Amino acid sequence: MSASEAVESTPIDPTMGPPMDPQRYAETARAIEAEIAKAIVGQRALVRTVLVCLLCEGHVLLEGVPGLGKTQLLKTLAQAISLDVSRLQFTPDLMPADIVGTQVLEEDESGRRRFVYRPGPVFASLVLADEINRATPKTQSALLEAMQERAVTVAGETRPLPRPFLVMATQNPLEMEGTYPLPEAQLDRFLLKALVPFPTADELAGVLSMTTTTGTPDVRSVASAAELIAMITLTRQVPIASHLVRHAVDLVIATHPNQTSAPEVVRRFVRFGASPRGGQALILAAKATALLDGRPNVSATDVRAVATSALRHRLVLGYEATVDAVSADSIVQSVLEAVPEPPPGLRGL
Amino acid sequence: MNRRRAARDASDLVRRVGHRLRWVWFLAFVQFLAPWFSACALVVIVLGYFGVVDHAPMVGAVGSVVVVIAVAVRALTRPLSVAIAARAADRGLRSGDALITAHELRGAADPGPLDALVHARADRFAAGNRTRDVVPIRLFRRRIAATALLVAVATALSVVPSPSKRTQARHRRETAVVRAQAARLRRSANALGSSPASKGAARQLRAIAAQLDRTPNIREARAALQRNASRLTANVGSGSLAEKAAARGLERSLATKPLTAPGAGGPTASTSSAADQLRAAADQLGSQTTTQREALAQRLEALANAQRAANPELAKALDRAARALRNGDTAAAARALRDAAGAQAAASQRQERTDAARAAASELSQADNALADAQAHSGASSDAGQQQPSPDQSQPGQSQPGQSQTTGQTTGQQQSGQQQGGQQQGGQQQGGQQQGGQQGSQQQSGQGAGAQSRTSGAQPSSRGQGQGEGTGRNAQQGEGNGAANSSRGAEGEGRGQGQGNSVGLGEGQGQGQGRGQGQGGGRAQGRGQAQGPGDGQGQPQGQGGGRANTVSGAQAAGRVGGRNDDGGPNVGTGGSGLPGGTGRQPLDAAVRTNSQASVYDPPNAATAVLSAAPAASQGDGQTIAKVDAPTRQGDVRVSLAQALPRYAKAATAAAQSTSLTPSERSLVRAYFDRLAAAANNTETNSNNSNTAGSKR
Repeated sequence: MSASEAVESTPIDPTMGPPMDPQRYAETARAIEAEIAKAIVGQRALVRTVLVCLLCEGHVLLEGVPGLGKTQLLKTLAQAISLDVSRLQFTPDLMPADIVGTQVLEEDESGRRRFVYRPGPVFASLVLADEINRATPKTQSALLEAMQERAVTVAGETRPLPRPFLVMATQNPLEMEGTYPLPEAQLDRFLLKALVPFPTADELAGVLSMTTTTGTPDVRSVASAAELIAMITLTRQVPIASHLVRHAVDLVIATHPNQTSAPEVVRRFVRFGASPRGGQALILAAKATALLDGRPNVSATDVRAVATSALRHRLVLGYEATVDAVSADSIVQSVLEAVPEPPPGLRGL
Repeated sequence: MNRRRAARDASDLVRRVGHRLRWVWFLAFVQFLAPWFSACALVVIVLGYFGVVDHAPMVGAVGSVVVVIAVAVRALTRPLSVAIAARAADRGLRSGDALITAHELRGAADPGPLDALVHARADRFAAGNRTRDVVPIRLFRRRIAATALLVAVATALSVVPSPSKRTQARHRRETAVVRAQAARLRRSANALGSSPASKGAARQLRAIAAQLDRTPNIREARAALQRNASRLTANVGSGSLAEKAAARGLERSLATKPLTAPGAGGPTASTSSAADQLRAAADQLGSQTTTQREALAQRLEALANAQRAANPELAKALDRAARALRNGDTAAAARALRDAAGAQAAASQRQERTDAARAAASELSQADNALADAQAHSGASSDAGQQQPSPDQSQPGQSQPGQSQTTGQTTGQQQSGQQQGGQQQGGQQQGGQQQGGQQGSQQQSGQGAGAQSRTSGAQPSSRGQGQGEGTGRNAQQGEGNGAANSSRGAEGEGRGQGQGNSVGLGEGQGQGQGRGQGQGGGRAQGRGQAQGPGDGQGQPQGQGGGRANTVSGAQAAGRVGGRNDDGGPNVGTGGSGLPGGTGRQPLDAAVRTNSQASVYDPPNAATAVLSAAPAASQGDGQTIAKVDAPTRQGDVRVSLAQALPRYAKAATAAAQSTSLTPSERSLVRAYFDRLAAAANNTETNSNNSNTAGSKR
């Protein structure tokens, strides 16, 4: 795959939304987070990660045990932004047509029969692919095309997906029996991978209090799709200094075991490092993070802050990592230590 | 101050930060280098402390200054981009790369919607900040502490007196002395002139001077001088003195009484050399009468007899000329006379070369003496003896072997005589004077002298012993120096051996060894030189002197000897004794002569007059030469008491020479004082004996 192919190919029209500035960007994002917080207790980092992916027009892979509010998060997000949402429960017998849709034979009033395309659940702005690793690779690949091309092709006709389009896939790290682990190519399509942590005691108490009563959270819509598209556009317009781009490149290169800058942990446990999409994810997520903090430019801190979630699922670990119980997160942390924040460029300062 | 005020905006701040970065970088890099360079400087100073490196503190200081200057120059000249300054400002302001982003956006061709916000944000960060707050000077405390510690140690080592400094000072003094002697040798070489005869000796002197320039210390310089002196004297012809005397005698004889009659057209007596006169005589043979030819033949025979021993070639030519004249063959006589003139000229040239070589050797000897004196003054005697007899370090009961050197040089004159085969051993004689029982007239005289420095606290109670042995085909006159140093409880021994060639001209060199018990060692020096014409029987007679300085309870013994290398049958052994030497007066052995002591005193003997007339002839003989050399006429041995006043006078005059050191003057003076005292005692004892005999 060439670098040009790796770049997101769907053009974005800035005129689709109203003008957006960093301040309004940050306020809108805070409003969305506030609405989500009404239904999701805690999990602020998770919410931020999902929001970053949405603003970068990427996809997010959530990994966590069931019952932590992943579906609720997506539903609440859809309510806050007034987007349509669909949920796909991946099972081994799930077929690609169940995702992308199929043509059905219909008879009109005159009695004529013809094939009519009935869109699948993928035709939604927010798609929850629950337990995606339980579907067969064939079905997974159907979603792969939708995620990458933002369009589906059925019966020789390509149909674009709506904008914004976010796939939030989940997978259970415990029950691996009868699953089909996502191949590296499909994992690479996810902009970020977030680990859904178990809530703290206070958060759990809040969850219990919220979900064991008759009341339901009153989530309001605080942003429109057009505003979201404007925010997506502004995200890509955030300037980044050249040395930060170089820093992102250094981080990606350091994940490759055959590179001189790779730390010993990478050399020992990593079979393949991050792809160029990893670098794209670093910079895009850093831009979104900067705007979410109200800053018009990216800093090195932004790049390093998103490094773990952007690179953890892009590392292909070797057998030694499994044996020694070395996680991808620890390896990315080693890479961050091996590639420090770029100095001013003058030795001794 | 303009530089100290707050920045207006991001560009202003970045520009100022760029200037400040050079200064900050300079200080940071100096701090980075300081411990390492301080360690290097400390190593240099430690090496200097132990004498490995000269001027170590200066080297360290200069090196530090050079490094600081180099870093400063680098700080001023190294490229420093605005981007680096902006990033440094971002770091100092914690602005999240706002300034560097703004800097990069400033040159962008297509401004984005956020560019203005980026610039505004960067200006907000920059406004009101001062560069010293943005880029503070970093102090690496550990490096500074390490540097301070190293500098303190280095400074302390620089201030603390180093034992190597004395060594360095002595080394400088020795080098200066050696260089001075080298310069003196060059001046001497220039003074020798550029004549063909002296050119070789001058060239050798210059070569030796160049060798001295490369010599690092006195010890090696002296070794080089002695080695080269041996080579020089080896080139001197064995019969050079006799030949010289013969040549000068001929010149003097012909100057007094020319061969050609005045007004005969030949060269005058006052202006012509002997060779010229011989050539002129050859030219005038045809105009001479028979009587004149007969007189000339007799004159030539007399001259031939005088030259026979020293210049046989000339004597043969003169004989041939005389025979031809008697036979009336004037042509043959003329050829023979021209041959004689050539032989005389050749002898004169040889003498010039020999004189030049002797002068060069004398210069080397003087240089050696000067170096020896400087060596004694600089405390380098321990180096020469390869020992360190420092009284401060002496500890009773410990031994430290030492090595001493003895050089010998003997000079002497010898009369011609017949030699009888056999090997002969001379008896030992107290006082270092010895006569062997050889037949033939032979007289030798010798002197010995020793010099040495005394260590503080040393007492001159020591015992010295010297022995010399030589073979006596030729007369030898020896002079030896011996000295030994030892500290308390030390016992030293020195042995030496010298060699002289068969014709009596030689130079001896010896080595000595010293052993010490306790702490300390010994040093002995001796020199011998033999010189003399003739091939008669020789009987070595010499005086050897040994002197030792020891502290109480120490014993030292030294032996100086010379051996002739001609392989001749005569072997003499002599020069032993000097027990109970007092150290300060090492030649007291010579004082212990017996009451009948006599010395060979050619100058005091009747001056030999060589007459051209045969002894059986009638009429006055013709004096052809006067030589100050021993002859068979008269008694050349006189009593010591008779010769001593003149010897003392001559020695006193010689002692006034500037080339002698005060210690050597004192030594000579003391020596003759003791000789005089011994002679007085001898005379008194003799008078007492005579008086007692008369009474009986």
